[in-house]
Amino acid sequence: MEERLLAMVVTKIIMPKGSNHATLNEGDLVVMYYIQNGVMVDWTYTIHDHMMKAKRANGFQASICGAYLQVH
Amino acid sequence: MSRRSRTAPSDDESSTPPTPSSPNAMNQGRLEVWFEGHEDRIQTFLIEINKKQIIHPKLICMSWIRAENFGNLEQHLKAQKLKTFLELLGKVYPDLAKVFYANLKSSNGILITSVKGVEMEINRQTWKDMVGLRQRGVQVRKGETSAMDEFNKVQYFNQCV
Repeated sequence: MEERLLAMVVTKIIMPKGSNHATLNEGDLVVMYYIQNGVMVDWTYTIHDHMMKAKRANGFQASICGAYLQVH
Repeated sequence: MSRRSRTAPSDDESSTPPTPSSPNAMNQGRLEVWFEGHEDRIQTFLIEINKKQIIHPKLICMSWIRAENFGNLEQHLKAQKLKTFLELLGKVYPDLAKVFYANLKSSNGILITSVKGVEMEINRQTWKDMVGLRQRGVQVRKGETSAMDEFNKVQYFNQCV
């Protein structure tokens, strides 16, 4: 149960995808593994990478910048 | 995406009636304001970014995880300093988010963009100040799991479900 919620947090909030949120890719699994084992992840790198992917790829959609825009 | 109704007063528009054939007139001059009149950026926006959809932002509350008794998940997420990021709540403007992505550039790990003439630079210090995300840690890249000996993705996935 805990792993499923963690998968939702990773695929819906941290690295949101365009279509099927329930499908875990390799990067999602690695991030989940690190979180569960207490290994610190460089989140700024991960999120920057994901934002650039969201700009390039057609299937990607992103909402991360919404969080940033509201701060300013 | 639904188009907004016209709210601006039509004093200057009455003198120069917009021709419906050009895309700028269809957008009633909003794109010029968003992109400060950069024609090339406007074309990129119309061709590449405008058809994308901005998804609804989502958040999760740590107090809810604690109340529903989800084991160690709260401690794990707090240890990664993700608490503020996951609980971020505020107004989102989907149209301007598209402008944000249309102008987005990356150089040396710094994101640079501009919306309505406001230049923005998102670096590591910004992330630390805004949501408390730290620089240190493992950089997760695609296809680097071969370097992790103890990690087997199939085995880990089966363990999760």
